[in-house]
Parts: sequence; C-alpha cells; structure tokens
Amino acid sequence: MGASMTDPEREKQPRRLWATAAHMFGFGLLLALAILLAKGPPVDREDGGRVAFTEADLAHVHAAFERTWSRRPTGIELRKAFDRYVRDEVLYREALARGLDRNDPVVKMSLVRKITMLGTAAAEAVEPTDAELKAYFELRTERYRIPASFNLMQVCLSPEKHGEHIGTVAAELLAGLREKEPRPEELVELGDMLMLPNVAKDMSEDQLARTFGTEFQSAVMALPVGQWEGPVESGFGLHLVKITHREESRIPEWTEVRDRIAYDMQFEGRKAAEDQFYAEVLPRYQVVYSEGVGAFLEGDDGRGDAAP
Amino acid sequence: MKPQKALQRIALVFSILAPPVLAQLPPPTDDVKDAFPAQKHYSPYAGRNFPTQVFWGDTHLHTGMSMDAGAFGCRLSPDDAHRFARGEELTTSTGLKAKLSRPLDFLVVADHSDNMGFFPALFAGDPKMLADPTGKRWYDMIQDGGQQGVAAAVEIIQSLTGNKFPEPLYLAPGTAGYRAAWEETIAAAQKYNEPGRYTAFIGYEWTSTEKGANRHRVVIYRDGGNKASMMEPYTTLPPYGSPDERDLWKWLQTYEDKTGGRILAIAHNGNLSNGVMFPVVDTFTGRPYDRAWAETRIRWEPLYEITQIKGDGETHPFLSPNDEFADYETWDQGNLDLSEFKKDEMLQHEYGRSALGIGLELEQKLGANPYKFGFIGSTDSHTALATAQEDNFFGKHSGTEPNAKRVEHPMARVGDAEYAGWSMTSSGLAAVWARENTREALFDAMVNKETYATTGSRMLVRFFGGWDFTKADAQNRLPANVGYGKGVPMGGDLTKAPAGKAPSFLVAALRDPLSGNLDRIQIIKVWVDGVGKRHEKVFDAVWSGDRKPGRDGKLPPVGNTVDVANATWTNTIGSPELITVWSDPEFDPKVSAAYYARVIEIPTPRWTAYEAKRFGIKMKDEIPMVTQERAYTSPIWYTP
Repeated sequence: MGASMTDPEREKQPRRLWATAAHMFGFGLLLALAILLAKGPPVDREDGGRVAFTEADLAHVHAAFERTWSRRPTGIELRKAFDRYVRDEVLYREALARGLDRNDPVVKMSLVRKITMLGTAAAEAVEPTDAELKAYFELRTERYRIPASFNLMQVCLSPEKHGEHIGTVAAELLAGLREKEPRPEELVELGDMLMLPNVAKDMSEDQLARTFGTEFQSAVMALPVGQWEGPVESGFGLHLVKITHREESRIPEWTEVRDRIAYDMQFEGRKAAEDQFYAEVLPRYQVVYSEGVGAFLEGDDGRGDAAP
Repeated sequence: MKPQKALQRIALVFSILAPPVLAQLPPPTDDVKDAFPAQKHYSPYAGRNFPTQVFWGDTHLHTGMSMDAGAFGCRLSPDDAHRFARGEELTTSTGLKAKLSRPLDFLVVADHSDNMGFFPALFAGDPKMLADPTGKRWYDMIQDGGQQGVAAAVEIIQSLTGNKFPEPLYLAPGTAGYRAAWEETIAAAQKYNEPGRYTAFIGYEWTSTEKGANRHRVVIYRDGGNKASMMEPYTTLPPYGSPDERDLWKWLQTYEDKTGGRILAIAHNGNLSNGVMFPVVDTFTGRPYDRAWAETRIRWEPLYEITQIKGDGETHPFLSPNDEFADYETWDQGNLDLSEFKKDEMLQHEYGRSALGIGLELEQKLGANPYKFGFIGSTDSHTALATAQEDNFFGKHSGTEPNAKRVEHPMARVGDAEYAGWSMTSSGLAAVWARENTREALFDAMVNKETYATTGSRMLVRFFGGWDFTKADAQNRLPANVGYGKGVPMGGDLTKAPAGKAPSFLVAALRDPLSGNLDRIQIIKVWVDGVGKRHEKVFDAVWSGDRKPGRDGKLPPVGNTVDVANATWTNTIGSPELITVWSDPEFDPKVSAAYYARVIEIPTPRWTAYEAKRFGIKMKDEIPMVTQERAYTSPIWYTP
C-alpha cells in the first residue's frame, strides 16, 4: 500500500518507531530483570573464584571411571569425564555460594545420615565377645526358638464335590485309611485332587501355615503322631492327616545361632548408638520454641488432628 | 591381617564374604521318599527333576539408601528390609509396628544407583597408602585394634568428609561414599542370604527418567558379594552413566565378561513411560531397530514387572475394549513426573499384553523378538517394607504409611497434577517355580521365565503347553508330572505344529489360603496376522460354579460377598481350585502367537476398605473399595 499512503499515516510513522524502540527497551529491561531474578546477582568470591584442580582430582575421576567399567578410560573418555567433573565442581561452588544447600531436604537428609554414621561408627566397630553373645541370647531365648517340624501325609476332600455329605465321606475315608494304611505313593489315588503334596517332609510350623493355612497348621500341631486323624479343615477342604514324625520345637544352643545373635546385637547396637549420639549432641544446642509451639507441645495430647 | 581387611572390618563390620550359616531349618527338599519307610514299588515322587515349589518374593524394594526414599523420610536400611522380609516384626520409619502375614522367600533390595547412599566409609584399601605418612599412621592404629582402630576409622571418615584426605591416597577412595553404600547393600544381602531358606539377591535400580518418561530397570545379580563388588552399579548420569538402556546393556555385558558372573535386568512401569517402554523405533534417534538390538534387549531383559504399586501393567481398556477385566488399577495420566500427559497412541507401547504383540510383529521384521519376556510382579515400595497384601499395606513411600489421611492426600504432586493416595495399588509379588530356594536356582528360573506375577495374593498357578494334552490330564492327580512330561512350562516355546493339531494347555490354580476363592482362569492369546495386524483375544478356560456364557460369549460375573463396612468377605462363591485343559479353537499353524493364563479371584476388600474400617473414615464415592486379585503367568510362545 506504500504508493497510496496518505499524509496522516506518514506523520504517525516516527511516533510508531519511538513506540517500538520504547517497547524494545522496556522488554530488554524486563528480560534483564527476569534473568537477574532467576539467576541472582553475580556473586563476588573472596578467593576470586579460584577453583583449583590437581592430579589428585584427575586420579579421582580416573578411579571413578574404572570402578564403573572395570577398565581404564581412553584419553578421550577421561577428558570428557574430567570436563564434567570440573563443570559439576564449578556449579556446585556457585550453588553453595548462593546458599542453595540451605534447607534443601535432600542435602539435609544426606548430612543427617553422614553425621549419624560418624556418631555410630564406633559402636559398629566393636565385635561382641562370646560372653556377650551368650548373655544376650540367654535373655531372649524365645526369639531363637526352632519351630516344630513334621513329616506328614494328607488326603483332601473337596466340599464342592461332596456338599453336605462331606462329613460322612470323611469318616468313611478315615476308617479306610486306618485299616489299609496305604503307602505314601498310593495316596494320590485317594480323596479329591489338590495341587498340594500328599506327603511332606521336614515341614516347619511356618511352612505348614504358608502352604495349608493357619487353621490347618494349628489343628495339626495338636494331632497325635503315628495314625490317621481328622478331618482337619483348611481353606481347600477337609483333610485326613497322618503325622509320621514330629520334631519338637526347641531352644537351640547359643552356638547354633551364633551369627544370628551377632547380627541382632549389631542391628540393635546401631539403633541404640543413633539415639545415644543424638543425646550427646543435643546438649550442645539450646533448642528454643516460640510461644505457640511451646503451647502446642505442652497442651496437645497428640491424639486427633493438629490445628493448622 | 592385611590393611584393607582391617579397614573393612573396622569400618562397618561388613565382612562381605561372610558365609551365611543360620541353618536352623533343614532346607526344603523335593525328595520326600526318604522320610517314609523304604519302598520297593515304583514311586511317583522319585526322579522328579522339575520344580515342585513356588517361591514368593519382591524383586524391587527401596530403602533409605535411595535418595528419594530418604527424602520421603525412610529411615530404614537394607538390613531392616531383609529382616522384615524374613518375617520379623519391625518399627517403620513413621513409628508403626509392622510384620508380614507370611515371610517372603526372596528379596531384591534395589536402591537407585544414582546417588546411592550418602554413607561415607572407609575405602577398600591400597598398598600405596603405606607409602604415605598418614596412611602408615592409620594402618598402625588399625593394627593396634580396639579404640585406636575406631579412632582411625573416625579420622578417615572425617578427612574424606572434610576434603582433607591426603592427596597421595586419593586414588584409592575413588567415590568413597558411593562405594560404601554399595558395599552396605551387598553386605546386607550376604548377611541375610540363607540358601534353602531365604534368598537375598544383590541388586540395584538403574533409574533413567529421560524427559520424565519411566525407563527404569532393576538389575539383579546371580552372584555373591565377591563378584558384585568388583564393579560399581551403572548410573544414568554422564560421564560414568547414561540414560540410554543400550548403554546399560553394555555395562551388563562388561560385568559378565569381567567377573564371569550372571546378571539380568527387569523393566517396570511402562504405564508411566509415555510410549517409550516398548517402542518400535529407537526413542533416542528415531531410527529403526535392527536384529542385534532385539537380540540384545531380550538377552538382558527376560522378565517384565507387570504389576506394582504405581498401577497394573497388563493392559488398558483402550487397548482391550472387549476385556471386562482390563480396567484394573489403571494409571494413565501421563509420564512419571506428569510433565507430559498421556495420548492414546502411546498406550500400545506401555503394557505387557500389547508388548507381546509388538514383539511378534518386530520378530517378523527383524528376525528376533525383543519383547519375548515372562512376567513377575513386585512392589517398588520406598519404605523398606515389601507389603502387597490388601490388609497389611504400608504404601509407596514413608509419607504414605498407614494413617487416617493417606487415602485423601496425594501420593505425589507435580504442579496441578497429582497421584491420589487412594490410587496406590497394593501389589505385587513375584512367583518363581524352582527346585530350591537359592540365588542360583531362582535366578535360573527367572532367565527361563518360569515365573508369574500376582497382585499380592499367593495363589498357586501351573501352566503347561503342548500338542497332546487331553481332558483326562485335567483329572490327573499329579498335574506337574503330566505337564512336564507332555509339554513345556510357562515361559516355554512350542514349534512345529503336528499336522491337524492345535496347541493345548494344561492350566491349574489353587487359591491363597489367606485370600479369596477363584472366579476363573482365562487364556489370553496374542498374535499377528498375515497382513501384519496385531490381535488379542481373551478365552474363559475354566470357572467356578455352573455359570453359562451369555449370548455375547461373556461369562456372568461370579458375584460379590464383600461387606465393605466391615472389610470382610466369604468364600461361599468361587472355587478353591480350578484346573482344565484348554485347546486353541482358532489355531492357525502359520501364525506366531503368545498365550498366557490370567487367574482371577472373587471380589475381596481393597486396602482402602481396611483403611476405612480401621480408622473409621468415610471414603469418597470415587474411591474403589473392592478388588479382584489376579495372577498373570509368563506366556508360552508358538512359532511356526
């Protein structure tokens, strides 16, 4: 439309240029401000921002590479890794200088872990003596009790198949079992199909419960050894059971479970050392509560919802 | 005593080579005949050289060693995790008492490899240290033992922390804090691993979340601490690590080459990958894949974690519109960090079932099937507590351990988007058929894919494929005998169809004694037709009661006995055990196919129902209170 442009429009031209320039300037200012807000002002370093790297750093990067790949890096790989290392270090320093580590939950957790570790290293370093192991064991013998275990045979009847007659069928089957005393391998032909084994060896109380359910397990615990008994109920149906051997539950000699005692002591020792360490550190600080917090801690019984 | 040995002992008493000797229970054995009077007759139990037991475990558990778990408040260690899994009572990070209803048989503590642990500790030692005066002094202190040794340990830790470590010694520590974390993980596994009774696998999670998309893999070692400690875990951050799974595979290969050990990786949460979990072209370069890529992927990733707390990954209603059980614990908002929302076209690249089809499709093009994997479930819990049972669910992370508010509070929030607390899934478990409970036996079964996934309950499932199974085999008293005798187990292959025969499958399931009866067993068939189109079909194979399929071919629902208010149900419907032989009525011998079994329980209370009852809270209507637990077996593949 250039040729047909009228005078009034031509007059507007300079003003439009001005406006554009002003907009650009304004936008530039905003952008600068935004960058400043986002990145913060450049921070002056007392040390002039000196970040020194030595052969030790290079060796460190080299070692880290080797730990991951179990081989030496090539020259290029090491150079790349080292560039990254330098970059990380510079950004890390910048972040520290701007205080980004403060109140960062991840950093906080990390430092809490570190200090706790330091505080408890001593406790963990001590290996318990035999006398200590034994003493610990004797106070907690029940914890180390070896559960009873069983060799048993079982035949199952399905309630789906027998309905209300299941009791009668079970009684007949029990009589038959007692009379004929079938061999273990013949059991598979008796009763109804079940994916669980007819014969089981060395089944602990635990394993019985896991395989047949707790109901079955506690019933079996009460059965006499050596003859067909039942019916015993489980989630799968009615079982007839013969326990052929029962290994009674017993408290082991402490030497049989020596490692477990040691692990337990170490485990508890670590937890106790953490608490103790905190108790030692705490007096170095004066923990002060504002009035509101104090009132809350005094007054609230901890039950129910806390006020916002 | 060698200096590094002394150092190690002093540091953390992590004797990583300590043999596990807690044998207080005899190892389970499948040789039962010794227990009974000598038999002259042929014994059906003799010579059974197939797996007779299912072992239950969690292949994916985080502890306070994982940076995010720690930040969420998890204070528990790998030690705690193993103790809990073995059945001990424990105090959780939020101070609750917790115990499993039944111990697990195995556990993989799989903390994130990136930033694993922050524990500074002593370095592994280096002969060069004796050449340095400080090194020599520490060495002498340690030799003195007792308090001197402890003082040395503390001094060393402090000098590492304070950046005052003598330069000549600096090579040795490398990444000392990291090393220590890895050693602690290994040490815990070594300590609690008890062949025959409890398997503590060594492992970690490689957590690539490029552009917010979940590409995570759990890495599991078959080996003990001596091999696992030879290389540090692979991370995702350059220069030592990479977010590309192909670099992880290279690392896995290097591990096996260097140590002579065995290792595998399991991917999870395709549902949060926004289409990059099971791609057809390279998601980094956009280039098509080749055969070598497909072979490498399946070489390292024989299993897929199909169900866990962050949703179920079998299939999605969009992909399986005719499957009335498809919308189960669906998580489909977006990628992991919710920075990108889900689009329908992504879904096919995210779920286990569709991946089986994509795998067959790629096999036609490339000559190898990258997605020929078996299934396991696991929790991915970040609490150090492997809980997947509805009435004993301790949540995704320590902020979601049981409390009156966890159902309402978001599990995580990103901007306006959030994962609702109630949407957490109390799932899953890994079931492994093996002959004994050892690292070696379980690992080998995983490689053979003789595994299945459940959403938390422990039903027993057998699944065999062959050409000669007959209806009578379903009446056989020893289904495993006939199954192994005439066919291949879950994870296996069928080829060379005999003329005129269709594959038949012997499938059997027994309910979890602590959970609901069984509603039905289904066979899911996935195939690719002559023009390269993917298909799937769900067949009801066997079900409880005398239900008849309707005109639409659908079996009526089993019913519902759940009393939500009291969080109870009765096993008056369903069946404790289901078994059948199913034969493919639509078999085409020219077409490759994958078949797997899905076992569905009757409805039982979801964890939210127990929560409502225990805390006396009223739940919003949108919150599901009833669930139907299920199992997914590894597939059996037919290849012409």
